[in-house]
Amino acid sequence: MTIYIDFDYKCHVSDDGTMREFDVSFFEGKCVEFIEGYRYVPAGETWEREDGEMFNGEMIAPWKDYSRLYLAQLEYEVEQYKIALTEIEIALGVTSE
Amino acid sequence: MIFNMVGGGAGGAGGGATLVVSSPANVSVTVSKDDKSYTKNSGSLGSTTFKGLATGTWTVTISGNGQTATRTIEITADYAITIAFFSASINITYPANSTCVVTNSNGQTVASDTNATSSTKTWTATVSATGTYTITATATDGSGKSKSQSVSITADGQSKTVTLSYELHLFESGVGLAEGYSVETTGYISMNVTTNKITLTHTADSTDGQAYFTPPIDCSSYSKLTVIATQTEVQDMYSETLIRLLTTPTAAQTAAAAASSKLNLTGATTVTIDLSSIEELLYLNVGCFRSTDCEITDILFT
Repeated sequence: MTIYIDFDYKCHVSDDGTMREFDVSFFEGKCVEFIEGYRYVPAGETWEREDGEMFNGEMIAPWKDYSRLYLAQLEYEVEQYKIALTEIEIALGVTSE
Repeated sequence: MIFNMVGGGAGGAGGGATLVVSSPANVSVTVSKDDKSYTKNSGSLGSTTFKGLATGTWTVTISGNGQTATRTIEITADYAITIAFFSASINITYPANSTCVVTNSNGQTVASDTNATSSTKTWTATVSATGTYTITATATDGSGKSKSQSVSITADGQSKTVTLSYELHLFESGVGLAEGYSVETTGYISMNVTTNKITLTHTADSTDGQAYFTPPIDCSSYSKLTVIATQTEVQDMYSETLIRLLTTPTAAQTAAAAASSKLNLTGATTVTIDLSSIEELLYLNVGCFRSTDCEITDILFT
């Protein structure tokens, strides 16, 4: 999936004109809130955390609380399931009631 | 001749310092500086006190019985201090059963806290000046474990966050796997574990295999994962070895992971993963996808 990273390696789903574009399979099927809670450091690059610790790319790790991102993705997948189920029911001319 | 100097009188300006001169008895004692000069007799006790002396170098002369002796002494009667309304905070998370101390660049303790619980603790230290502060957590179980980190405070109202944790050397070359942990595999790989390395070898072409460590790691205790590994064999451009943190021991290649990193195509890779936003119990998983082989020589949680 195409994502965009800013100067701090934080991920975005759209480019504000200053970001770099990457195709990262890790984010396939992920909702916006999940994606934009992550940091992607490409191979060969290095990111320095606020406390001075260095991290080498490739690294994909959350910068927002992971439990919140996990929940957001879970809710998104449930919603996707509901949408798919509805589409199937419509196609079959049946309902779940 | 012996000097004793004490602090200036109370009340601020004009107090000066007090100089006590010990000398032979009944001699003339003179202290002088610039255009000021004071003379007293040392008396039967040989002790002469001069009060109200200003900061600077004073000359002390005793004379008597046809003899004279002179010494100089540096007197400090004035002190200066700068004080302003300043407050900055350092938000600190540190390990269970530990003490935590914040010191300034002079080594003076400016704040401290104690965690007697079995969970990490978060507290806020308030500092009243700019500068570099060192935060140190020390285990109280006698193990000697300690971790320090420094922050720089540069402005009033600033807030910094520090997370301290003691390390878990899950696998160390020359030592082996940490006590209490095991590593297992699933899929088409075989594994050989020595004290020097963990070797994963694919057992069939175009297949996947995974190794995972149990029990899961409490990531709330650490802020960084470092893995040193070498991908020793790849089948084709679709092959990859992933180092992942998962909510389950194993997962498909495209499944959601809390964090992930990929080994370099050739040569040793030092994988580093930021754990500072992960508080969960997660499994460390090494996924060998599409028949890759690898050797792991070090796994460190800090």
